[in-house]
Parts: sequence; structure tokens; C-alpha cells
Amino acid sequence: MFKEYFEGIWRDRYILSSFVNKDLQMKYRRSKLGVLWAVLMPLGLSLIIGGVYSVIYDSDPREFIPLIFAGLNPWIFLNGTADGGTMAFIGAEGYLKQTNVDAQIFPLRVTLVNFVNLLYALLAFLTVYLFLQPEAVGPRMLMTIPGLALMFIFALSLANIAAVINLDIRDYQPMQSLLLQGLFYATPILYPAEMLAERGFEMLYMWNPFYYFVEIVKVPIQGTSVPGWHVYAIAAAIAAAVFTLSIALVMRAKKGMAFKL
Amino acid sequence: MSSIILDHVDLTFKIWREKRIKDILVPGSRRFNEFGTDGTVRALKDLELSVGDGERVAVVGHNGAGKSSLLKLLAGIYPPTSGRCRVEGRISSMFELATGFEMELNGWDNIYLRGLMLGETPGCIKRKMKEIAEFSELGDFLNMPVKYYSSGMFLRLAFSVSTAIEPDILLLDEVVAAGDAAFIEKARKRMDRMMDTAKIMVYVTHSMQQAVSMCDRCVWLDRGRIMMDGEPRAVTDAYMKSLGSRGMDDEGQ
Repeated sequence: MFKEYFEGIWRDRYILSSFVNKDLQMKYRRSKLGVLWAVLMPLGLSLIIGGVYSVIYDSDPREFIPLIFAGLNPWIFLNGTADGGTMAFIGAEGYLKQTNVDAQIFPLRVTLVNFVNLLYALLAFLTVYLFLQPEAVGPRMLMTIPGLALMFIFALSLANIAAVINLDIRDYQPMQSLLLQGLFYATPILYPAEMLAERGFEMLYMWNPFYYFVEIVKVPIQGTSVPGWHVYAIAAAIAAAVFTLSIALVMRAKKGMAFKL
Repeated sequence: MSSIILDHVDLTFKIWREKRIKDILVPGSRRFNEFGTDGTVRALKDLELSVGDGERVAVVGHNGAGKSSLLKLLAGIYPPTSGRCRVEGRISSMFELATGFEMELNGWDNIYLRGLMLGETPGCIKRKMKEIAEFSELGDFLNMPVKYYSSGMFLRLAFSVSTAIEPDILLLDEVVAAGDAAFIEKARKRMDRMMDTAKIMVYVTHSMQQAVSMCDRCVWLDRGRIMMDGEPRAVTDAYMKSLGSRGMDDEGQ
């Protein structure tokens, strides 16, 4: 099953890369600022949210804005990939019904496109950070890389699962959207995790898989600390389990997928 | 060596009935939604067919006879519900032209993508690009997004790619008819050349004329079964006669 899955992706690697290229080009086509939007969007959002919250919490925007920015980037990536995943197969109907292209490349396509956007956003973050808190920039930030790798696998799994479920249940897309919106507030992004813990709601993030993936990117990229090894271990375990499940689902759905499109 | 062998092949579709809240709340609102009692349609029934090197097979039959399903089965897109379908050789197919293009991309990019989908490597398809463009005669239109193309232009593009990759088995759905007379003639010549090197073609058509002129064998499908299989003129005559007796002679000339 795994072998078949990866072989198919390898076989269609050129198709995959040309789709990803196309998607990235199309996203900002005809816009004056083009790909800069990939940077400006999360930056602007962080300024808005960070600005508002630093007033509400009465804290220093210089510290608060990067904090929000760091947490928002991985969230936008996970949310965007899961949401895009719902249309991965349905949007590729023309190809899946006419050619023997391997279906598994389509959720991966969504994930890769969103991942490239995430990298742009992280670049924006680092630039801003260099100005706001140059003293924090250091080698600890390298721990972001394993975090990104695990998060990528998790996001791909979400896209796979969403793509398969949406084949049979088209109501899944709005449902997932709502669910993710809820999870966004349950994940310590706009507030520190301790705030939940203080009020006895630590279960809310302890049992929330998104928490671990956001954490392993958000914390190391701020350069001041690195999450405990158990956070990485839990994230790795979740990623492995969900990824296995998602491959099983995709490979099962692949047979006769053309009937459902 | 290429071959197609179908051994007692059955193909059953599950019709994905849409059930909406309205259907549950309003009794009788689903009366246009019934499709068989169990929601399945048998598109192909116990099909036996074998095609060997150098054969050009026309498939005729009226709409809903299972012609396109047969092609998709051969292409490996629909797995058989039961029976065995063995197809050996490199397949190139051309089905409906309404989908399978990247509308925002120009003709060149679509040639490239289509070539990849048909199993070419990037280097290989790039080498053939010029030849494909020449054969399509699309000229400057290739620089324009394909959303502005007419159906004839789509056909030119798709056909040029599908045949340029030198497949062993060419599967064509009733689309060639969208081309103008000059292009149809050109397409016929190219297929003739392909067949010289012992390849298989399966061509679904509603044009009896094309079935006779382009193919050397003809299969008549009706409701998922093979009614007749043999020399094109004999089969098309029999098919036309059956249409006449049903008063449906408006189909196919």
C-alpha cells in the first residue's frame, strides 16, 4: 500500500510539479503585487490582530505582534491545506476521468502549494523579527526545520482525508470548515497556552493535535526557546498514525474513483 | 505486441443518488431521481472481445449503449466489476473534450501537460512540441489561453498530442467529428500511418461513413452487449437497418 502510494507519486512527479508551478503562478496572476501577497497577507493579519490584542491585553506590541505572527503562519497553512484538500479530487475530475494519472498527487499538490506559501510567510516573519527583536535571532531557530517536516506530513494527511471524505459526503467541506474554525480558538495561537491551563482547561489543547504541530513551528522560530522533546514525540506519533490512515483511505478510494466524480 | 482481451467483463455503475433534505421532507419529490430500484446501472454485460495488432475497431451503437464506458474500461479508468480486462501496450486516449484542459493556460502548456498525462517524460514531450504544434496547425492560437478555443481547436490540440506520443493503443471517443473536413482527412492519414506499424485503434463513432473508411472491424453495442462484430460495412448496414425498423434513422448517416 505504502509502496504503491509513493510509486504513483514518483511516476507522476512531473505532472505534480507542473501543477504546483501552475497553481503558484495562477494564484497571484494579474495582481500588481503578485507573490508579495503571500508575504503581505499574514503580515497584515498579524499587525491587525496583534495590534488589537496588545491593546486588550495591555502588552507590548513589539512582543505581541511576532508572537501572533509566529502562531498564525502554521495555522493558516494547516487550515488552508485541509480546506483545499476537500476539492483535491473533485477539482481534478477532468483528469481523473480521462487519464490514468495517479489520484494521490492531487492532495499532495494542494499541500505543496500551501507549503510554498508558508515558506514565504516565514520569510516575512524572519524579516520583521530581525527588526523587532534582533537579539532573539539565533541557532535555536534551526529546530523549526524538523517542526516544518512533521507539520508537512500532518497537513498532507489532512488533505488526503478531506479529499476522500468529500468524494462521498460533499457536506464535509463546510463541516470541516466549521470544525477548524472551532479548533482555531481551542488552539493557543491568539493567547498563551498557560491561560487555558490556569483556568483548568488544559485538556482543550492537550488533546488537540493541532496544538503540537503549531507549537513545534511557532516556538523554535521565535528563537528564545525550544519545545520539550515530548512535544516533538507526540507530534511525530500523531503524524505517523494519521498519515498511515490517510494513505489507506486514499488507496482504497482510488479504485473506481472515476465512478464517483 | 499489443493486445486487448476482455473476458466476461461486467461493468456496473452505482448511481450516486443525491439525497437532499427536501427529498426526506417532501414526499414524492424524488420521482425524477429514480434510477433502477437498487441505484445501479449495468453499463457492460458479459463482454467478450479480443483485439490484436493492427486492428482498427469502430464501435457503434446509440447513446447509452456502453460505448464510452467500454473505452474507459480499456483505458483503465473504470475497473471491471467482474471478469478480466487485459490490455497490453501503451495507451493513448482522447475522450470528451469539455474537460481535461487547463483553461487558463495557453496551448503550449496544455500540450506539455497532456503529454505528461499520457506518460511522456518532460524531455521527450518538449522535443515533440514543435511537431505537435505543426500538426495541429493552430499557429498563434497556441499562445492564447485555451479558454478561448473552439471545440474544433480543442480537438486539433488533443488529437495532435494523443497521436504524437506514438502509442500502441489509441482510444478515441466520438470527438473527431468536431474537426473540419481538412483536419478529419489529415487525422485519417495519420491513423493510417500509425496502423502500418501494427497498432490498435478503438474508435467510437456515430458516423457510419467513418466507421467504414477508417476501420477494418466494427463492433455494434446495444445496452451493454455486443450485437454484432465483424466487417464494418456489414455491421453498419445491420445497425442502420435496426435503427430504421425502430424509426430512429435520424441517428448517424
